[in-house]
Formats: sequence, C-alpha cells, structure tokens
Amino acid sequence: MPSHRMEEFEIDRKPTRKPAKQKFYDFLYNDETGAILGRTPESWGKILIFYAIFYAVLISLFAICMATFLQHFINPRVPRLQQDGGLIGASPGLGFRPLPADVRSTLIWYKGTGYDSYKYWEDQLIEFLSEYKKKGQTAGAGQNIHNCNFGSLPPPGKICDVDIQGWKPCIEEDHFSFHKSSPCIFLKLNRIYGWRPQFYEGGLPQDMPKDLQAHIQNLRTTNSSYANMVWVSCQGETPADKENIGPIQYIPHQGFPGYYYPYNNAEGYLSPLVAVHLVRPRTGIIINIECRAWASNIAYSRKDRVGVVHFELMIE
Amino acid sequence: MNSKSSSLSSISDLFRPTNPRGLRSRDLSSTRLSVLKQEIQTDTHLIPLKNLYTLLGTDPINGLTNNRAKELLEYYGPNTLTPTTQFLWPRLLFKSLCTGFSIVIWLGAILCLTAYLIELSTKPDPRPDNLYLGCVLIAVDLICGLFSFFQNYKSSQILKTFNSMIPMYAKCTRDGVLTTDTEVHNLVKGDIVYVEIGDVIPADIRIIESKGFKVDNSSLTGECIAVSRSNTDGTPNILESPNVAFSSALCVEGWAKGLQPTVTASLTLTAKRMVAKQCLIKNLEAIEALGACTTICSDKTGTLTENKMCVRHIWMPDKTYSVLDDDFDSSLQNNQAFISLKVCGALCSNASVSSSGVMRGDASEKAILNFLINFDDPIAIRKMYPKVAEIPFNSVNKYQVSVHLDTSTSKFLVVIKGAPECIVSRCLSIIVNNEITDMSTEIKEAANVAIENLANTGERILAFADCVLDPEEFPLDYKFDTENVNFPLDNLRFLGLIGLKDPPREEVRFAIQRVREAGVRVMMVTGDHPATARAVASEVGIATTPDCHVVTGTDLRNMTPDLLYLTLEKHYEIVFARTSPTQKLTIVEACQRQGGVVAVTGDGVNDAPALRRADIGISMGITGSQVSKQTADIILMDDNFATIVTGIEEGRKIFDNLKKSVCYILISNVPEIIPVLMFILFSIPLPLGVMTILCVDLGTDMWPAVSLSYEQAEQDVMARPPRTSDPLVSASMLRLAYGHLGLVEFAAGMFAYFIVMAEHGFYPSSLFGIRERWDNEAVSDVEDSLGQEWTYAERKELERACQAAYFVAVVITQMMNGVICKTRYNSLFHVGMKNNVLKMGLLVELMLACAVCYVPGVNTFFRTYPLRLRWWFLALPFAAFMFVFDEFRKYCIRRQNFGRWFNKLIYY
Repeated sequence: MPSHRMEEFEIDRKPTRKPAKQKFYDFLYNDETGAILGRTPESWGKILIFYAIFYAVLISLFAICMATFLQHFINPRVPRLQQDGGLIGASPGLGFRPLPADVRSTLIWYKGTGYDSYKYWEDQLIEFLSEYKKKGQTAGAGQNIHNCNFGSLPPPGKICDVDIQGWKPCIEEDHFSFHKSSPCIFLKLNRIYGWRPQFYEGGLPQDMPKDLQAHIQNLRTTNSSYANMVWVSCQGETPADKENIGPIQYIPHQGFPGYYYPYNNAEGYLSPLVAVHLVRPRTGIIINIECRAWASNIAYSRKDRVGVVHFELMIE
Repeated sequence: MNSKSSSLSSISDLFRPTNPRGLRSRDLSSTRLSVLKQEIQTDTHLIPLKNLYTLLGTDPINGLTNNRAKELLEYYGPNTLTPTTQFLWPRLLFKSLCTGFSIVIWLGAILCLTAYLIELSTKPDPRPDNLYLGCVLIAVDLICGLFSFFQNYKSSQILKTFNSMIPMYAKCTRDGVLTTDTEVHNLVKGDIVYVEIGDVIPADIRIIESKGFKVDNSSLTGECIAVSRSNTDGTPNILESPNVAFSSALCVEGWAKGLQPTVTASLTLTAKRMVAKQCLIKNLEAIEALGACTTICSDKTGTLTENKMCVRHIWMPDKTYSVLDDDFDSSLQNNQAFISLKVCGALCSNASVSSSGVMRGDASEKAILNFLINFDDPIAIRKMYPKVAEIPFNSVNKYQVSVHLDTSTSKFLVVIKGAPECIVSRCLSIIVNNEITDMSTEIKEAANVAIENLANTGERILAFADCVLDPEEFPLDYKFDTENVNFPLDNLRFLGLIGLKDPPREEVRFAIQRVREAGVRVMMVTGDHPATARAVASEVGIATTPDCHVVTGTDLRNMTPDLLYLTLEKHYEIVFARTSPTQKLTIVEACQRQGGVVAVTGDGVNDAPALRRADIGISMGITGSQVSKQTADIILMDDNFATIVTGIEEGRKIFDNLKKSVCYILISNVPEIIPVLMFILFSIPLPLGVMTILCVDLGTDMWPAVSLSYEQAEQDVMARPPRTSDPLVSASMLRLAYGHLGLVEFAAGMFAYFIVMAEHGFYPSSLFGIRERWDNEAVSDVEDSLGQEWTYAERKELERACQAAYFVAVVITQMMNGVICKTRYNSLFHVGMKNNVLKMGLLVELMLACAVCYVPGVNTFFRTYPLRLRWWFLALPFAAFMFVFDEFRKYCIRRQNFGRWFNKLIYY
C-alpha cells in the first residue's frame, strides 16, 4: 500500500541467483531459516499434530461406522443376504478338481506314463482331499459328524460324513487312476447358505442324458429314497468328444445325496463329492468335457456357465 | 462537398504490409511496438502542396488515373488497418476440438477402439467394455469441443457487427471523375477525396481546401472537443497539425446538410442492445486477468468524466456563483449583468437547436446553450437579435465576435466571447450592482483571482462582453466588414465569466474507492491540461492528497525508463497529463516492469499498441475506435470506469469460483484413484471401475462443477490485495483436496464397499489378497467368510454391486462437497443455498446417479447395479463429517486462528 511504496531510499535488489545444487541443499536444510524440507521444525510439528488429529478423527469415524454395522447387522455365522436375497442366488455352480496351474486354463493335460507328468495333478487332489481325511483328527470337528444316509438325516448342528476311503480306484493309493490313463476328476457343488435342492419327482427334463434318465428310473424302482439326489452327468461337448470320452463311472453315486443339504455353516461341514472316473478316454487328443448338476432348482446356461462346469482333458 | 483532401499515409504506413495478404495482427511484433512508441516522423503535412502532388504523382483536380490507383493498390495493399486474425468457422471448429487436453482424450479413444478391434478379430465373443469406453471418450470430446466452439463463434459474430460499422464507400476523384462508390479499402496514396458532415474520414488525409471543417479526433487524441482542420501550414507534430485529418475521425461540422450520421446511429443501437451487459468480454482470460489486476491506467475523458461539457461556475463582478448551489437561481434574480450575459451567451454562439431539441455544435457552446435554456429561450433571443456579421473563433485571436441588430431599440449590439485574458483587457466598463461603472483595477484584480481559482479546479473559462453601438455612428444600413474590422472591439462592457467543465461521473468516486480498497492502483493518463487533470483526479479520488504527483507528456519524453520506474515506485498517486497516446505504451511498460498486472483503457487508434501490451486492454464501446476495439480484451459498452470495477469484482469472483470448481473436481479424484491403489497393493476386488470413474468425472460431477461458477462473490473478494502469484491450483488447495476432503470421500466409498461385501458374506478381512482368485474366470468356487462358494459370474455381479455402492457414496459425498465448495471463506449458514443452478445441479447429479444405477441397459453399460435403498445412506456420516470439518476450517480461517498458520495450510 502507499506507505511502503513511498520509501525514499529504496534500492532495487535482484534476488541472488543460486545454482540448482545449492537450491536443493537449501531445500534439505536451510541455514538461514532453519527449515528442513522447506519447513521449520516448528511448522513440521504443527502440521504433524494437525494431520494426526485429522486422520485420527477420520479413522475413528470409519472404525465406528464399521464396528456399528458389523456388530449390529452382521451375524458372523449367517449371511445377511441369503440366496436370492443376495447376489449369490439360489442356483449353485459346479466345480472340479484338480485345477490346472495356469490360472486362466481349465485343461488337464499329462503324459499317461510318466510319474513326473501326473504328479502335479495327484498332489493337487491329495491336497484337496486332505480336509476330508483329517476330519476325525481335528478336535471338535469329529464330534458332530453324523453317519448320514437317505434314511437318517443329520440332526441340527451335526454334519454328514464324506467317506472317500472306499472310492476305488479314485483314491490316493491308486494315484487316482491317473497312471492308467483313466483319471478321476472330482466334482463338487458350490455351497450356498440355506440352499435346499428340489429333487425331481415324476417327469425328468428332456435334455437330461438318456443313460442318467435310465439310471434314475432304475433307482426309483429299486430304492426310491436314493432318488433324492442332485444328479450329475458328464459328457463330451461335441459329437467327436462324446465318442472320445469313453465310458464314465461315477463314484460313489451319480450325484450328491440330498442329506448333505442345506449348508448351514456348521462346524466341519464337508461338501459332498462325486469322483468321475473316465475309464477309457482316447489319448493324444483334447476332449472337451462338460459336467452338469441336475435338480429342478438348478438353472442351466452353457453361455453363462451356470449349473455346469467345463474342462478339457488331454492324455498323451 | 466539404473538404477536398489528398490521401496520404502516415501511421498506417507502419501497419501497411508490403505483401498485403498473409500479415496478421500477431506480426505486430516487438520491433513494431518500438516503432509505435516513437512519435510519428513524416513531413507530408509540412511540405508545400505542390511538392506533395509531385511526390504522390497526383493532380488536385483530376486525381489519380485509374491505372495508377490500381498499381498503387497492388503495391501498398488495401487501405485498411492490419486486421485481426480471423478464422473460418471450420478451422475454428477444428481448433476447439483439438486443443490441449482433448488431444489426449482423442488418443485414449483411438486406443480403446483399436483394442476393441483387436479383440474383435482375435476372440469369438469380445467384451464391449473398450467399445463403450471409446464411444464415451469421443462423446466427451465432441461435447466439450462444440461447446467452446459455439462460445467462440458467438463472440466473433458480435465483433463482426462492429466491423460492419466502418464506412464502406468514399467519394473520390479519379481520372477527373467524382465517384461516390469507391470502396474505402481501395483508396491509395494520392487519391483526392471529399468529406462532408457525418463522414468518417476514410484515410489519413491532408486537407487541400475546406470550409468550416472540424473533426472529432477523440478516438485519436482523447480530446472531446472537435478541432478545426483546414489547409494551413502544418505544425511539426502531425497529430496536432491542423491540415491533416486522420482515418476514422468523425467529421462533425460543416455545411449543414443536416444528415444524422448513420454510423453513429447504428453504433448507438448496438450499444443499446449490449447495454444489458455493459461489458463485452472478448476473451475469457481477460476478465480473469482483470481480477488479478494491480494497476489501472485510465483515460480521463469519457471514462472518469461524462464526456460532456457543463457550465459549473459563473463569475460576475462581485462574486463566483456555483451552478450546483440550491440558491443559484434566486441569487441571480434581477441581476442586470446576468441578463446581459444570457443574451450574449445565446447570441455569440454557433450551436443550433433543432425542432426536436437536439443540439448540434461545439461542446462548450452546447454546454452554454444547455445552461441558458434553463432561464430563457435562446432561440427567442436570437430572433429578437438577428445576426448581422460574425468573426469566427480562431486560435490567434482567441475570441469570437458577432454583431446583432436589437430589433426593439434598432441599435446594433456587438457580442464577444473568448479567452479571459483577451477579453478583460478590451473592457472599460462593467456592471456592478446593476449599475454600469468603470472597470477599476480592483475589479480586474478580482477577475484575475477568479480566473485563476476556476482554472485550478480544471475548468475551461470563457469571458463574455458586449457593446451597444451608437445608432448615429452605425445606422441601420451600416455595412459591417469582418475582414477589415470597421466596428469597435475595444471599450467593451465586461459581463462575466463562465466556467465549463467535463464533470466526473457520479459513480466513479465510489468505484475508485472500492478498487483502491481492493489494493488496485488507479492512475490517470490524459491528454488534458495538468490543472484539469489534477482537479479531476482529486475530485474522483485518484488523488487523495494535494501533493498528487503530476507527470506531463514533456516530462515523460525526457525521462529514462529507469527514472519513470523510480517515479512510479516513489509516488503512489500519479496523474499523467498532456500525454500523447503513444506515451501510454511507455507508461504501461513501466507499470509492468514493477511486476504489476496492468489494465489500460483506451479508445483511440494510437492506443492500440498500449492496449495490446497491457495485460488487459479495455476499449470503449461508445467512443472507441475500430482498432482499439479489435485490440482490446474488454469493451466497456457504457464507457464507464465503474464498469471496470464491476469487471474486477467479476474477475475475482470468476477466479474464486473457478478455484471452487477445480477444488470440487480435484476432490473427487481421490476416491477415484486410491481404489486402484488398494486393488494393486492389497489385492482386494476393484472397488471402482473405469466406467463408473468416467461416470463421476464426466457425468455427475459436471453440472455441479459448472454451477459453482454461478456463485455470488464472497465477502472478502474486494477486501484483499490482488493475487500476484496465486495460481489456480495452489498447494493449499491440493492439501485440502487430496489430504482432507478427498480422503473423507474415499473413506465413505470404502465403507459402502465393505458393507455391501459384508452383507453378502465377504467380511472385510477376507477381501485382502483375494484378487487373484476373484478375477480368475477359471475359478468357479471362491469361498467367502461363511463358507459359501461363488462362481465367477456371481462374483462379478457382487463386484458390480460394490462398485455401484462406492459410486453412490462418492456421488453423495460429492453432493455435500458441492455445497461445501460454495464458499471458501464465508460460513454456509451465512451464505445460504441461493444458487439455483447449483441446487438444480445437485438434483441432476442425484438423478443421474439413480439413472446410472436403475435404468436397465444403462446400468449394464456403466457396469453398475440397482442398489438397495439402504445402501444410499451409507455415505451420510461421512458427508456430515465433511460439512462439520469444512465449517470448522472456514471458521478458523475467518477468525485467523492459530496465528494464521491454518490459513496458510488449507486456505485456497
């Protein structure tokens, strides 16, 4: 303002020019002002205190919101949004094991004779099934195991056993039959809290493979309670694949017995499994295999991969 | 025909290209500027006319031959001022579509489309994401580009209407034939042109012959009084030389053909249409620069003053009367001297009043006539006293005489008016107390004191005297000879003095007070007399102390740039008087050397260099010349200084509001960028997708960001010094945006994301590190916290829902943010929600967010999800926190708490 401009004896001074290096050192530590990194220690202190308070308030607000919500609205053992209420839906997907090492691939590929070649797949399955083997040894888990069958459903809080011991040849000791070029692929149905399958009664869907239809009809006449299953069928995708896949054996049943459902997040729950034993697949060619789960409340769409799992097999 | 002149070129020579095409305004380079700073050096107005004819190869009767004219036109190019660069609209369109950041967007769009095409040719069912993204980017570019194109196009159209106001045809003799349809730009050196009343002088001309030819040179020199021009000897300074008239000066007086110049009419009409805005901004940067302006160099005439002469004081032997006094009328009742003065004033005048009441004539005569109309009817007086003879005013005599016949007494009356020093010495008698007495030395002394006092207040003083001729010596058939005066011009009766003045505009004083409070220095640059300049300066408040420093044009010419710089440093209040328009450039450069952002007003042709050199060139809508308007950044439609102040306030407001908009947009960057970091660093499923980011940036954020520019100015806008090195995006704004508010928004978004995940079974702890399996299409069973297994499609659906929740949280907090960013300084409770555009903007933002989430198809396009109602409220605690924090921040800033340390930290 006027006053300081009126100074009579003001001398025009140009700012002294400093080399870039000196400027940098001044930035690190300025002798004149005592500033470190452009600020005096006092200023740094104030800034740290201010930001500490600000972030503390922000974080505690976030924490309070989170805690309030999780405590009041979330049950740690029961999902808040179930089945169709949430996004998981009421139609479980199907999964297979062993999974390939390459995350994007679904190709099971090995040389039929070399142990090194199928060792990876065997290890994958051993790891996957270890849970099923050690169930009795873990404390607590073993106690609520119930030996279920179609006649005796598990009481609340108890779970059904999945006994994989007797699934010859799909057992660890037999290398899951990989070495005989007739590998076992394990199928499992995705767990959805509270989901109950609706079993087919009476008519069966048109697109169900004929042999499965025959199998179901056969069971219904011999042991009707066995018909309460989520059925599984595997087949080649193209006519050529259908030819190359050869006969298929489902162990222990061609489906997941109904007494395993619903899943209620009970301690030690084990998903039921179906071992698909490809008895004589053609070697030296890629076989596209599609396995499908069957229940009247399992939707199916090949395009969206719903109710179906796809993988390729190649044995050299 | 009024005057016949030989077209020459002087100033325009400097602009005139050797190659007429391809030269643009940009070529007004620094070398040219230095040329312009010098006084024009030419002798075409000094050499005898005969020599000039030979020099130009022309003939005063027949003019140039058509062939010669053609040759000259070819050689020198058209008779126009260097035009501003004008683009055709396709080029303008192209320019607005492909500038700066939009090029980056174009590249992005091309990349997206290329990626899509590659995917299309390699994969059986390609994802349309890249196609969507590409289309969105192209749409964004087109919309932004078209918007700015229309803005530019509209303002260029407005300027075109100004261009069309200059005269298109001139009357010119070639091959001995007078034609009226020679286009002005075809005139060449040596053409003989005819100019009459109302014409705009088509070129810089030397006058060959004339009758009562006067030009309004205000657009060149800033003088508001029409000056006589005739074929006389020139003076060394060509601008003041009376035998030269310059292009675009307006011929205002001459043989009374009585035609109102259509040019002026259309100008007034356009001015009236623009009057609503008062201020035509030619480029947006100018008004923003105006907000940062530290110095205003203002013209006096027309800008600070009203550009019309008024009678302010009357002195009659005993005392000075002020016209503005309430008892002015009553104090002059029955005053003999005043009665005679009225008669004298009405008679000794060439100003005429048409039947519609419009006055025409010299500014001071109009002023006197205007004054007299309040008391008597001058027309009636003129009828009573028919004019017999007249000696017009000239600069040697400095008086004007006319002889009238008093029809009531059949005596002749000689009335005279002129410069006081000439008149007083010719007077012997005087009317004191209604009696005629001798002119004593005391009265002469008193008159001189009055003259000096009035002159010191910047008034132009005219003295009046009369003399009743003896009927015996001058019978009714007496022949008065005005060439060899045969009637007495001495022994007159002194009547009184009239002080005339161009009064300052009423609103200017307050306006100057306001800008000075805003830390802006106001300097006056005028061609007027130092005393007048000083008087006006102190009247309008440019000078607050009597020792205001006055620098005259002659001083300035002798100053070195360093000395001028020191003078500007030393004196805060400076008035430049008697300056030539070219010196304005020197003044502007000196101010800029001080580091100031300088606004300069100018209306003349010669102001163009100064207007261009200044940071903000301001031209006048009414009196401004074509060139000054073309060069200026801002045109004041009402020529009023107060409008500049509004402009400064507007400019600061715009800059403030721009800051608010930028801050608003910057804040939303944080919740857009950090999710990607979270995704990479903590391997959580991506909390915000690309399409939703675009949705925020280019959809929901757009309107509120723009609407912030409709905010009212804040309290402190005119109370702080001009920003000197205050960038649009300052460190404190970045701190506030990235370090504070942005993080709150991010927290809100993450909260919403975690909640939606948790409600579906993925508790926060389970999300970290899940990314690889989550995004793997081959994995059809990802386990959540409750042992449920999710297929790829189900997971992606959940991801969309979470991203939508995050998006909504950002939208909700951005809405609060829009409210917060309304003010930088004031409390929101104080300001309120008066900005309707913003209110609409917030509503639209909410509706857009709903549309993006719920409209089928749109939500698949943007990869969002129809959220449950309760998820909309997740961000509310954070929005409330933002509000509280920001109110606290503004409170601290207003109170300057913590020793202003806080202000420095986050007051942007």
